[in-house]
Amino acid sequence: MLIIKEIDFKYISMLLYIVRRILQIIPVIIGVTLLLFTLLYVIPEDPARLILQKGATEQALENLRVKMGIDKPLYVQYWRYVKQLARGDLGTSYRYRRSVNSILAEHYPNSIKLAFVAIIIEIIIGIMAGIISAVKKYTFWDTLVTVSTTLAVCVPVFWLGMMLQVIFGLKLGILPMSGMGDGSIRYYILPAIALASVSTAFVARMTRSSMLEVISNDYMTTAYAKGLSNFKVIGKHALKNALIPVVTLIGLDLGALMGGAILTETVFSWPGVGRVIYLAILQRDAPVVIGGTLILVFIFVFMNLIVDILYAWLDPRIRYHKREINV
Amino acid sequence: MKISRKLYLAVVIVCVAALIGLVFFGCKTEEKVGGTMRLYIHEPVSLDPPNSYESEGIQVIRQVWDGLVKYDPETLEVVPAIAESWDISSDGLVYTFKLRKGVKFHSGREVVAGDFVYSWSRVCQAETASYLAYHMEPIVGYDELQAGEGDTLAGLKAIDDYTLEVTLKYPFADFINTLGHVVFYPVAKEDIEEWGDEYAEHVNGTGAFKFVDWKHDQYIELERNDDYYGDNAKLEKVKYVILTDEDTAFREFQAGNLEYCQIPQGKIQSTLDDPELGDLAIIKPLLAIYYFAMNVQIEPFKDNLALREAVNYAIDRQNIVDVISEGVPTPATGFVPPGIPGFRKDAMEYTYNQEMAIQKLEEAGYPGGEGLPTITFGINVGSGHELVAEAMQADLAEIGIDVEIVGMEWGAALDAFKNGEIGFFRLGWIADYPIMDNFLFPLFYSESADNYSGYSNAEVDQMLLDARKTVDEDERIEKYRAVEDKILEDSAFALIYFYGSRRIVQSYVKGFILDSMENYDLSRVWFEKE
Repeated sequence: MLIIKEIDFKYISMLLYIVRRILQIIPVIIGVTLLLFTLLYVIPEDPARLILQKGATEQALENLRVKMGIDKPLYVQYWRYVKQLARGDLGTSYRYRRSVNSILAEHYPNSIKLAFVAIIIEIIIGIMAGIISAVKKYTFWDTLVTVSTTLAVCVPVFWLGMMLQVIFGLKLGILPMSGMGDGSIRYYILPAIALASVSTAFVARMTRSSMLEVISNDYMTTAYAKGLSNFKVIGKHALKNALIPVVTLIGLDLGALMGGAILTETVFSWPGVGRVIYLAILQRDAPVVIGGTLILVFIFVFMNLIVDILYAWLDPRIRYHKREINV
Repeated sequence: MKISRKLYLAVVIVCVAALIGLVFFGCKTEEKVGGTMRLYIHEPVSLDPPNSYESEGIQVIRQVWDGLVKYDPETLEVVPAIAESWDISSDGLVYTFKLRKGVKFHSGREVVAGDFVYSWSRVCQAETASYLAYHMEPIVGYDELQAGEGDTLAGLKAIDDYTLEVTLKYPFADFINTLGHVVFYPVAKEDIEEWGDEYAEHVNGTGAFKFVDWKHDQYIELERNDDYYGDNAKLEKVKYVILTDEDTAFREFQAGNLEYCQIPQGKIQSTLDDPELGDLAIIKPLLAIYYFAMNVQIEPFKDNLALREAVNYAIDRQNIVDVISEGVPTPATGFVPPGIPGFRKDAMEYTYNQEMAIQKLEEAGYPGGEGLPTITFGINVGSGHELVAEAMQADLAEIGIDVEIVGMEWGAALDAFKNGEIGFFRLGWIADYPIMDNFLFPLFYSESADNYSGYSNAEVDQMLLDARKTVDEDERIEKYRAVEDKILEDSAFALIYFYGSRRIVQSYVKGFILDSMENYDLSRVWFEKE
């Protein structure tokens, strides 16, 4: 009876925590829209002027401003935007004259899919390399991992992307160099490798140092003393503890990758959202910039939440009622 | 028995071989009428004619539509398309077009004169806020529609289904030459009513290829229109591959995944030297000019012709063309580029001449640059103009003129130029139509929206209006040449170069002609593959 209550409390406090975190999104959204709105309109650059390259008479500019909805004072525009947003409508792009919802709906899934493939590479290769170099400390394998992670961090993504294209696409002709094609996994390989390279190196390094720290603990000696196999000690006792900081890193990275990766998307012509937002910033296409950023905020907040929940699973000492007190 | 068996076997072998041969032979001829042409573009802004103001959308639209007229790819002269013939009233104000019968939209409905009345009026309506409405400015009723009054251009009349009458506000003899522009293409009213803002993804044209699909940031697909009024295209399909990076596109071309592509900046010389790729490159001047403007209304250029001339003599154009732009452009010889009827290769007398420059600077009252304050030079950032500006800065420093380069965002730059905050700046102009007027009127007519340089010369204004009225083509060209000379006399502009094409097309693509506006007609293209 007592135990059940304890479990109930655990779940209820966790649920409350999640609800609270989700409610926190609302002020964040208001803050973000207000900030972006102000920033985009404070810049002394008329979006109508930017688009109308020729024949920009006063009349033509005015017609365009009316069409874009930027002829009214800022507070009117903001209020209209908030009302629109409440209906789930992110507005119409100034430049493309298409619904921002459909622009983002076309591009976000591509970024998310690529991010997941990249994260899988990051998890498998990064964690494996980290474990190997920690377990085989100061051996050839350790040096190999150290050198290759240093290289991966240093090499610029666009250069790596270019080399991958030349080797696997042009010379060997075994993998497609650009675009999504029919959406098969072949098209993901090169961009995902380029996208994952830097983070994989960070994951490997963090896994290594975290593992080394854990391995030196007394309970590891105890585990060996119990007669557990090397595999079990490393795989169960050491890894689970060592992974906590790595999970944070990967979780935040997934959030960042889902927001699109301008360089990778450019080199591989990946139809992701990063480039869409980047171009929109250059062209002062405010509805696309704000809409894209809002979705990004959602993703970030959500990923942070997932990471925090994963923490609890990985480390039984972390409990949400405690954290609530801390907060 | 044995012999006859062998004979039988031989006959079978011969027959099989012949069959295989036939199949292969068949394939070879099959290639000539089929195939998918893959072309590299960036994501277009729109495929709706009033809003496709950039080269990418225009390339696609030109395959999907035919307008009243089109341009001959070699001479750039106007040839009939949907309009079979036309008459011009003696006062040059009324144009009457006879439309070809049996021209159909891809939806199957016949194109009638009313479609042009609807489409052109739609372009001019205030609520359309078209990026290209200014092209219709000569038509009666344009100003009213732009001001939001009414919904049909008063100057357009569908006399019957096959007769269209257009009335102009003033005589504009080149009007017919402007009609090849994409903004004049007809759209079907029922489509606009059905799709509204989403029309760009459901375009319905009149050309040799039908629109199939636009997967944003991935590709645009077209297929042959078998119901075309002219000769049907030979290609089965056209696929515009949307790529963000020109280096990646070029690698795709090298891997054989594209038929048409752009040679990336920095790879032009190596491509031309390449034994395989060299012959495939298309490097030719475009109808576009790159120039520096000196505002004659403000100091130090005001009332100082000699100073402006000194600047003109001091700039080494050939160096800018060869070193910075890899020989793709050609040094400017006037405002009007080669390819336009009326072009002269010696319109301008300024060439790189340091001695002359020094002498002119002295005449201007600043011997060796003494007493001349530092001049601010404005460019728009992010488009690679820095290198050209620095080359010019170095050239002017050699004769003693100090220049400070200021980078600005495009819109802010245009405002600063127009307001006279900056008196020396870079500009460029790309032709909308292959006529001299398109280089002279928009840039130098005092009231023109595109005149950012502060250039205003009542005599030039009068000469331009007069040239526009002149119906006889040769006479008109002579008048525009006089205008060009008159403007050059003022030396208010340092003309740098005519832009150039840097395209490349696979060897098996036949019948592909790239004109000086970077347009092409894919309905004439076929593949000759081995």
